[in-house]
Amino acid sequence: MMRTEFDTTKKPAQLDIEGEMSFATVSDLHAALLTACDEVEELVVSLDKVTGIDAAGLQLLFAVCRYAEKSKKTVRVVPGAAAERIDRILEFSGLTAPVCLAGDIAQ
Amino acid sequence: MSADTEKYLVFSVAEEKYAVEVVRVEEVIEAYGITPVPRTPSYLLGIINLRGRIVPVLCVRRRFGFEAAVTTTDTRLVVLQVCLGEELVSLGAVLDAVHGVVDISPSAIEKRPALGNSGDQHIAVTSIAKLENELLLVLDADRLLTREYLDDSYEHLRRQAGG
Amino acid sequence: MNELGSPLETFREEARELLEQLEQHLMQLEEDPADHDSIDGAFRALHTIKGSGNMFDLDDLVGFTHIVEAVFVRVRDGKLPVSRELIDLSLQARDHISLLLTATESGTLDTEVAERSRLLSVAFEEYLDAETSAVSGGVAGKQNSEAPKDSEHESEGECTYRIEFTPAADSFLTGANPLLILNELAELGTILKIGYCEAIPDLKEIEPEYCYLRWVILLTTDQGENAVRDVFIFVEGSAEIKIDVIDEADPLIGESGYKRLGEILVDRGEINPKDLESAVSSKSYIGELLVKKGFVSEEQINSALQEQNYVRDIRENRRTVETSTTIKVKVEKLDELVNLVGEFVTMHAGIAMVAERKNDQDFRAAAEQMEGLIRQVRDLSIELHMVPVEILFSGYRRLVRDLSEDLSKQVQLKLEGTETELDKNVIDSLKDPLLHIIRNSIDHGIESPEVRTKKGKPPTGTLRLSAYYSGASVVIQVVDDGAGMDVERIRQKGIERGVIDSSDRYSEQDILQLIFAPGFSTNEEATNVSGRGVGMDVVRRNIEAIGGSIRIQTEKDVGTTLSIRIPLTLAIVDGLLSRIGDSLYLINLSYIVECLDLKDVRTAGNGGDMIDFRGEIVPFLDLRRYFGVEGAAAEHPQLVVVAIEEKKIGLVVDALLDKYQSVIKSLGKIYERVEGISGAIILGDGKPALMLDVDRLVKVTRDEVKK
Repeated sequence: MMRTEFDTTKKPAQLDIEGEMSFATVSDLHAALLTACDEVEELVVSLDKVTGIDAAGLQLLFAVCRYAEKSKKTVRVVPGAAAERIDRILEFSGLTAPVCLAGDIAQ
Repeated sequence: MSADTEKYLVFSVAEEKYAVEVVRVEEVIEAYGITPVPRTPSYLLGIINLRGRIVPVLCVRRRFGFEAAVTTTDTRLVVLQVCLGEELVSLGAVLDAVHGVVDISPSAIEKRPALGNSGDQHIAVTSIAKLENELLLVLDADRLLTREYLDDSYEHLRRQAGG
Repeated sequence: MNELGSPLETFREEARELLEQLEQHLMQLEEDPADHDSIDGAFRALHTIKGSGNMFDLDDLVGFTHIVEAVFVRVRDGKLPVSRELIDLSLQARDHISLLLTATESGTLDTEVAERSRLLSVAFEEYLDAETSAVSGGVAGKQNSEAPKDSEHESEGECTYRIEFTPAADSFLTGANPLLILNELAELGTILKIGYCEAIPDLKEIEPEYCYLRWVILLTTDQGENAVRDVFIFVEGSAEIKIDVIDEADPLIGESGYKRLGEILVDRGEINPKDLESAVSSKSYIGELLVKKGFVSEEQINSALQEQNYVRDIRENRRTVETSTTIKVKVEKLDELVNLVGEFVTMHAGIAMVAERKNDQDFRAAAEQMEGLIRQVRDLSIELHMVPVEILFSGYRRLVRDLSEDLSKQVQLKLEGTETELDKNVIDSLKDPLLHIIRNSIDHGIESPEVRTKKGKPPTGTLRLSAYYSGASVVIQVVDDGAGMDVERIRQKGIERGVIDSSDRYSEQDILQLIFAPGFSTNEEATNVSGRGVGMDVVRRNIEAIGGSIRIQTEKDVGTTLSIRIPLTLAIVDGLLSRIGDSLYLINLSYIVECLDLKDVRTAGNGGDMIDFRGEIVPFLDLRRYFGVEGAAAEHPQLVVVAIEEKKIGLVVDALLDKYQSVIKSLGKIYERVEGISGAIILGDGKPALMLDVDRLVKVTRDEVKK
């Protein structure tokens, strides 16, 4: 349902999320994100292969951004192919995109 | 006069006096401003503009089989409401003269069979009103021009044109 | 039986309209399976029928419609593609719903109908897998609550609610997905959702399975507060819900603005009035100030700003809705308007004449200005009476489809020029005649696929309905690429019936026109589709009644074209005044090709009954003679060349006068059989003049020449 791949060989390090970011997977996803954030100073979270996202998944993205704002680490979320999907759920839930998401997507 | 009398407009055509129920009369005007419509029976004189409405005009003399008369100062156009088929239409009737309105009690009116052929004046006269010093032919406005007569006339015209 | 006008009767009426729409959408989908608007439309129609049916406890109807709707939910969500089979089935469902609707009149459902409900339901259920059944179940649950029994008092008028919704922290765990609730709310009306994410902690602190989101929702709906509350029925115990009416559709409130920002915040309890006052007293931008002073967060300000804009928009919309959406006007009123404008035009012609005579520069200028204005008013009033023929055409899609299926033929319907506008009354009177013609084309015209293949034609026949402007007329054509008509056979039949004789003086068109004679049918065995030749005579009569004419062109194995020419509007025309004898006649300008001096024209033909018009040999008609005008001919007769559908004739008149714009008035019953004249106008001096029936004159003249 959901798989993460953490590639530290890339600069900056990249966490690829594949599959669904939903209530069913947020616990695992949370753990993977925490690990990645702890391990590196600069992190790119790629949502390119995300196939679905719900309110719980979205909430977790906000938490990532909030973390990025607070900590001294650089964390960027790159929506990639999931950009449209994320836009849709943001619009649907009446939320505005968090800062780290709204940033540049170019890589 | 008692309440059960009815008002009639008295007019004359070819030296005979007629009466028609006033309820059928829309108005009485001078007989001018008639635009002829070609290829129609000769008793149809054409159309007039009655305050924006187009009203067909019929010559009662010709309709009753008389020669048309020269228009005089007495000539009038009486706009009548008549039934044509299922519809109520306005029809202008050109008459020799209009004499006024009289009250006639129903008891003074005598039914009589409509005589003569369809081109005759008597076909439209279904009763006679006996007044003190004169007799009036009571005109049944609806019989002045019937659908059938009109169709026959057009048919006649068409055959003439064809032959 | 229900009385007319009862709520149930109204429902039935509306449901029938919705079924019409559903059908249109389905037909559209058949052409373009990806058309989102039609998918949405079909869904909405079903949804509304179900919803309203619920109010009347029409269980059979609601139950069945629900299943169909559930399938369309899948289609709408892109989970199910639109297939030919699905359209077929949906059309059957449409008809069945219509049947169930009729059954509500008697209140009983016979077993046959019930069985059909069951069978169709099973067929539809196949399109639903386990997952979507759950989805549709949810929708249905909502549906039931959406239509509370007491909604009659409540549904009066539109109302805007501010809903503050804070889901319970464990709402994800309990399956009460807040987004679903938002979705259900959105279906009630216009919605603005403002999500708050301020409570979401950072990654380190978050309990990812807890819900930290909350919403302020502005909902404008006419469904009443109960309907809104019902959406929250499953979360009522746990979530925090506050519903306030913030804007009612009160006609007394005229202002378009809304509360000021500070007031909104106070209303929401996000700031107390005292803080507001102290902030305001320092006179700066209120939002900025409140944030600066730390009374409210930026998010709260933004949200309040959104609310302000939303309500403003809704109010603005409501006002536009009230003023600029369709207003139903009785056709008689429009007729009256067109008539009055006509009077106006006539009166102006009189004024212009006086202005001309007096030769007063200023007076003339004023009259000219007035003319421009009148023209605008005239065009507008005529426009009000016009509707696009699409309304007429698209109604035949279903007919073509069903008919070709019944007859095992393949027919493709093509619509052209659907934007062409026609007088509403004209459109109404065309409905039945066109229906007959289309039926005939499919029944007798287009061949079966086998026959077509043998003839080397594509197996699918094409039926084309097209409309286009042609002068002051609109031409509507029904074109098929079928077998064509057998002229010889029609001729034989005509002779048999004694309608025509065996001489060869009849043109092909004359013979073809025989099919419009009462009781004349070319098909020996009547099929149950075209009936027994009933209709075509009625077709012609109906078309002639609105001043139209009908022509047939046919070619064996190539096809048949029926062209119906009808006047664009029955009201006002631009014409050229001409004189014949002592009378004036108006000739519709749109038919006039050219005006010439007769002496400049060479006659042609054996009897000199033709003219040479720019190399073309054209018959002409001396109107003096035709109208039986006595007296000597005019010194300089004029020739007016007119054309109807490329068919030209010359009309000889005594003199040409001015261009003249006028209302056309009917000559009435007594003159309805007159040939060559189609109506009357009233001239500036109040005298009537006649309008030439160019259509008729062209026909008469050309027929004469043939003989």
